[in-house]
Amino acid sequence: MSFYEITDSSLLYVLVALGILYVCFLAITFMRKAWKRGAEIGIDKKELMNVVKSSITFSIVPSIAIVIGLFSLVAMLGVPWPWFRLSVVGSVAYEIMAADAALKVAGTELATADASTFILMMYVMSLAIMGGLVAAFFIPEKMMKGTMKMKEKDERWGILGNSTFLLAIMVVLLLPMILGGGVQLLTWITSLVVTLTLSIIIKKFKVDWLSNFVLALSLFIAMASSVMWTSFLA
Amino acid sequence: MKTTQEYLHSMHKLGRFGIFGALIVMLGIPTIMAIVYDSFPGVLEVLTGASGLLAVFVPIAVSEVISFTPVLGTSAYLSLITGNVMNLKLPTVMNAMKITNAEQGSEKADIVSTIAVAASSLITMIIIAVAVLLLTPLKPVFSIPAVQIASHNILPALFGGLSIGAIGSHVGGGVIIKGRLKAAIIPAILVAGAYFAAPELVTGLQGAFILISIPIIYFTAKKLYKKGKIQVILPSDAVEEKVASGE
Repeated sequence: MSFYEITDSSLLYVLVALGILYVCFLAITFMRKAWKRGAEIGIDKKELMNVVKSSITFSIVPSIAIVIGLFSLVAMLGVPWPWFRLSVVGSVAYEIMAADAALKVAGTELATADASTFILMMYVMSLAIMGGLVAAFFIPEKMMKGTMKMKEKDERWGILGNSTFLLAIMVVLLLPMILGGGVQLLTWITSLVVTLTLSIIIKKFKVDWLSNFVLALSLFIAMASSVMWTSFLA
Repeated sequence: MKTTQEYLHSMHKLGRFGIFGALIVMLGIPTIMAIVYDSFPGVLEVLTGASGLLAVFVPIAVSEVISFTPVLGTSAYLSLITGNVMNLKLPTVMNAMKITNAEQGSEKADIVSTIAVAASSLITMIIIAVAVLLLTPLKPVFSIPAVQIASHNILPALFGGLSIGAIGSHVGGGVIIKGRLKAAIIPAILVAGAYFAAPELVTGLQGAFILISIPIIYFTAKKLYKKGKIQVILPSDAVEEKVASGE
C-alpha cells in the first residue's frame, strides 16, 4: 500500500473521528460538572452563559489560524491524521518536526515513503508529545493543594503567590514581543488601544453586554491591523 | 453539597481519567492501523525517532504544566489534551476570569475556567471538522497572503488587551495588589538580556525561561510582601476601613 493510500484511508477517518468524539465527550463532561457546581455555589447562570458566549466568539479567530496550519499539514500527511493531531494536543510546528524526525529514522523522504513509514510517523508524533500529558497526570492536584494551603495560612500571600505564575508567563511572553519591535509591537499596541477604548465605551455608555466581546474584537482588529502594519513597514 | 476540596478532587479524577483515555486514543490509532495493515515499526525505530524530540519537548511540557496549573486550575487537563494552550486556552481563561471578576486560584475561577476551556475546545474542534469537510473550496481563501500575515501575528493581537489585566494591580475578586511588578524586575532584565544576545533563544526556549522566572518572581514577591513593599488589599479591607471611620 502506498503512503497516500494509507494517509487517506477510510479506516483512519473512522478512528480519527472516534478519537475526536472522545475528546468532545470529555469537554462536555467537564463543562457539565463545572456548570452544576457553579449553580450549587450560587454563580448566576447568566454569568456562566456570558463565559460560554465570550469564549466561543473569542475562539473563532484563533481556530481559523489553526485551520491554516491544517492546510500545510494536509499537503504532507493527508487529511485525517493532521485533523486529529491539531484537535488533540498538537501544534503545526511540532508536527512537522516530528514527521521529519520519523522520515530521517526511516531513511527516506516524503516522495518515496510507504505505508510503514506513515505508521512510524504516527507513533513518533504521538509518543514525543506525551510528556505534558504524563506530567499532568501527577502534578496539578498536588500543586493546587499546595497553593490552597498557602492561602489558608495567609490569605494575602496566597493570592499574591498564586498570581506570580501568570506574571512569569507574561514577562517571558510579552518582553520579546515588545523588544522585537516592528509589526509584532505595533499589533500588540493596537490590541491594547482597542481594548482600552472598548473598556471606556462600556463604562461611559453602560453597554455591559459588550464586555463579553472585548477580547474577540481586539483580537480581530489587531490581526487585521497587522496586515496594514506589514505593508506600511515594507 | 460537596466541599470545595471534594469538588476539586472529583475534577482532578476526571482530568486524570481524561488524560488516560487520551493517551490510549493517541497510541491506539497507530496501533490499530499497524495491526490492520500488518506493518508494525520496530520499537528501536520509534524510540530513535522520538528520542531527540522527547529531549526537547519533555522539559517544555513539564514546565508548561507547572507554570499553567495555578492559572488554569483543573481546566489544565482539558487544555493540555486539546492543546494550543498559550495561543488559545490561556487567553480564554484569562478572559473568563476578567469578565466574571473571579480571583485567580478561587473556586469560582476554577469553574469559569473549565467552562471557558470546554466551550473553546468544542468550537475549535467544530471549526477544524468543518474545514476538513470544506477543504477544497476553502484552500484558496486561506492561501491569501493577508490571511497568512494576520494569523502569523495572532499572539501580539491576543496579548495586547490581555496584558492590561495580567500585569495590572487588579487581580480579580475585588483584590488589589500594589507593587507586584517590582518582583518581576530581575526576570525582566534576564529575559531582555537573553533576547538582545540571541532572540531565538528566548522564543525557542520559552518554557525554560518561564520555569526560571517563576521561582525568582515568587521568592522576590514573598520577600517584598514581608517587607511591606508589595501590598495586597482585600475587598473586606475597604469595608473594615469604612466601619473604623464610622461611615
